[in-house]
Amino acid sequence: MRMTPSQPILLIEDSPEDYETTVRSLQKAGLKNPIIRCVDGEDALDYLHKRGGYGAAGSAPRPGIILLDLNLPGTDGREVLEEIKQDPSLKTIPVVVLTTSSDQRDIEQCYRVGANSYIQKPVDLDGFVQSMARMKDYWFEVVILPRQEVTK
Amino acid sequence: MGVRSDQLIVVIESGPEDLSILVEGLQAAGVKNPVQHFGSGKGALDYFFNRGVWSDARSLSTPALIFLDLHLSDMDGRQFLSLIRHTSLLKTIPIVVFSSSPTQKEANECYDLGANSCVQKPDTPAECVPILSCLMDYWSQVIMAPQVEMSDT
Repeated sequence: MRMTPSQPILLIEDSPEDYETTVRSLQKAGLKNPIIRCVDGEDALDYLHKRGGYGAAGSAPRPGIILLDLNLPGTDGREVLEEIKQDPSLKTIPVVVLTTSSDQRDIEQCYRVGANSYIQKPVDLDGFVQSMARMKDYWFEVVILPRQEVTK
Repeated sequence: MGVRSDQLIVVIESGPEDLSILVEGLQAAGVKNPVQHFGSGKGALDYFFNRGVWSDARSLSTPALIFLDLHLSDMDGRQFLSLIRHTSLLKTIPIVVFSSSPTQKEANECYDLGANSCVQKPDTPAECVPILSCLMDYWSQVIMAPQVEMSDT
């Protein structure tokens, strides 16, 4: 019942550099699951609600976990988090906030609205790689992730 | 900053055998945190809501992390989870649900009610150590923890 390699990870990240670093770190840690990127909040909500460019059947598989940057252009990561956690069909998906912000108000508020974890991106590359490896080990080796039963 | 080693971990577990596996596992994993154990949901709620034997206690330590057994002797762990998540002062405390063999439905329900994670309970002390090491590495080294103070005095 742990994460299967077919469950994708949704990475909501506007910065191409941060996206590249995150993907490489996770792959280096042995992650086999596909990583899907949404570049901003609107894109992510379209993906999760299977609308906009994601309306075709099978084009937006439900993620096993969401990695969410907070500071996004347009619809902010904080709004995306609240929308996910207020939606009965989406709220079970674990959301790990991945951000440069270490503002205590952001930390409090994210946990308050239902973030499953809050990670401040380490600024040094080694620290970042190590954090992603530990994050991957925790969520993919130890935790039982939610999963929608396939109903046909 | 993540969960510091001087911060309290609350373990809510009704099974004496599972409890000793968990507590010994934490020690073997090198976890130094103080641990407060409750054998029942009611006992834990008395602590969190300053009732019963805790009604005279002036300031109780707020846990930085709660390990919650899904099947408590006196109540369902989901009921406990729901009460904590509907209490403003307590709702940000990270809760990891432990269960021996949760069905997918049970795991989904735990996430739905606001569990931070759901973990399969290790059967043996040997299995327990790597799981708890990984779990505590994550909560102490990787994440930023909320600052919770449950007594508002």
